Amino acid sequence: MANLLAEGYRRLFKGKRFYIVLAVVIAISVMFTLLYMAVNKLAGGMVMGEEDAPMIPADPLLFDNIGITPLLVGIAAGMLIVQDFRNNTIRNKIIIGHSRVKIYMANWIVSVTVMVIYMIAYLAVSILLGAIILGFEEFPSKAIFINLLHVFFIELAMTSLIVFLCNTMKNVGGFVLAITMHYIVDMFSLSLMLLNKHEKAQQIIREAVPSLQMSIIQQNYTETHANGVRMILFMVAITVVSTVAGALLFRKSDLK
Amino acid sequence: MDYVLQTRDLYKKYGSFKALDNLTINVPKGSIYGLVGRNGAGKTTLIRIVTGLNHPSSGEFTFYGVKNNDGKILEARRKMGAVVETPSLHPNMTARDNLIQQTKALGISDEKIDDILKLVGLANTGKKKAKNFSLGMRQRLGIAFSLVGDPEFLVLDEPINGLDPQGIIEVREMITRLNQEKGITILISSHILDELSRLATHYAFIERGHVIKEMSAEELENASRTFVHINVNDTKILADVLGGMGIEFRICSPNEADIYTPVQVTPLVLALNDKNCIVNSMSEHHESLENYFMGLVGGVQNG
Repeated sequence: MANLLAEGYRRLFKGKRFYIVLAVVIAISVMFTLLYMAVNKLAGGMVMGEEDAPMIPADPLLFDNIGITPLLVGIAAGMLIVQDFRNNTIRNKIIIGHSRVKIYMANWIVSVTVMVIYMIAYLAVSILLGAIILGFEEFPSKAIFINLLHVFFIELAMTSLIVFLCNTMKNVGGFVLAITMHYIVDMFSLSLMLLNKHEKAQQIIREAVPSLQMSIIQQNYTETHANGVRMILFMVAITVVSTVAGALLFRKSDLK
Repeated sequence: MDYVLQTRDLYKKYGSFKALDNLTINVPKGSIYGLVGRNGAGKTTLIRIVTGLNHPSSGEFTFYGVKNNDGKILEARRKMGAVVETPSLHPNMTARDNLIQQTKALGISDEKIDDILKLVGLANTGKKKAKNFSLGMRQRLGIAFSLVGDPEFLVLDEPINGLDPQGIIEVREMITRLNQEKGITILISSHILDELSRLATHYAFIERGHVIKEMSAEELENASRTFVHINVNDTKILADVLGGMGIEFRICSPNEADIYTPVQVTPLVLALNDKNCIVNSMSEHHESLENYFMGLVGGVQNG
């Protein structure tokens, strides 16, 4: 496993894609900060007394990356997996006796590392710029820390699904599906209205689907959620099931 | 005799297509084992199964005495190096970086990389990325990849595909050197039978997923028929005369033919002379691997 990780990390850090996406992550944080600053200036100009104007603090900045992180992880880590199949370099690992389950798990660990690096980079820049330019209202607070931990589990589930799709489909189709799945689920979330007579079912679906959980967190990041533990357990379940299923499917599949 | 690889009734089905049909081969230690067969005969499927890329539908194989369904097969595979069809390379890396990548996967030091690059003739590629390599260079880098782990068993699927004549000679010499100097057992498939016949010490002739003949180069030599290659001014007349004498032959061109039945030269030349057919040259040859294979396959098809 250590050898597979060494191979995977070298491939990740030797390529340009990881660094380009990292730059995009930082740019997104900077852009949101500047956007909030511009909105605050505009609001200040519209209200007579600047002190009375409703100002956006830096706190929501910490959660603005939730939806875009899976896309960026997909581009950096998902493409790394798909390229291994496209170039047939995955063969080099199987031929020399690495087990397929370990190859899958190494891909998963490398992808989760990418996710953690991007999350930390975003948060670090947001906290720094947010504190200097906008100022925080609630942060640091227990509720925000718990919600940030909650976000980690949502992103973990999304990353596991990305690894599952890329490793199972083994082609660019898997990569495209992986980076767009969040937006596809978002589009179909409207169909939840059809369940208006079944509130309980509606709530469970909202809590079980990572993309819908993201909206719940973003809408209220200053308070912990009543069903927070259950929501996290759903994410853990998605992570475990998709990873076990992906590894088993990969173990059985024939390669080119 | 010690065998590195033995397959027993390997069977592989893709949908309704039977790729391997109870295929059995025995690869002796230290041999260069040639797989001979047409496109789609099952050579690459066999190689994919042996290298762990595909799973057999039924049947089994043992590699260094370890069965394919034994957990220890993964450990045994450390002794294997392989190039399956197209070389598997990282296109955005240099030749050296590609090989370092493989040392990471193997968990070994990269001190032998320069020797391997020299061995395959890629020592001077510098910062050139693999995506800018010629087909021949990629093929050689693929072979270099397979040598990184110091394998005892090498699987080469069409290793001379796309190589120029010089490249073919270099790869042939390299394969011979690896076999003779390092004692590496080599399983090789190639469409270029003439080239294969210069290398292989053992053969398996595969047709429709089944081994129709397995033999050593020595046995092939004994089994191959000798024939007389004749050059005349008119093969139509030659065909009439040979047909009349009940002799087995094959017309190769308007002026050339191969005669398989032992024949006395003087009566044949006189008979041709009577019909104004001039014999330009005659020479005795051994049947080529290609001819032997065609004879085998034809036999199977007629059977």
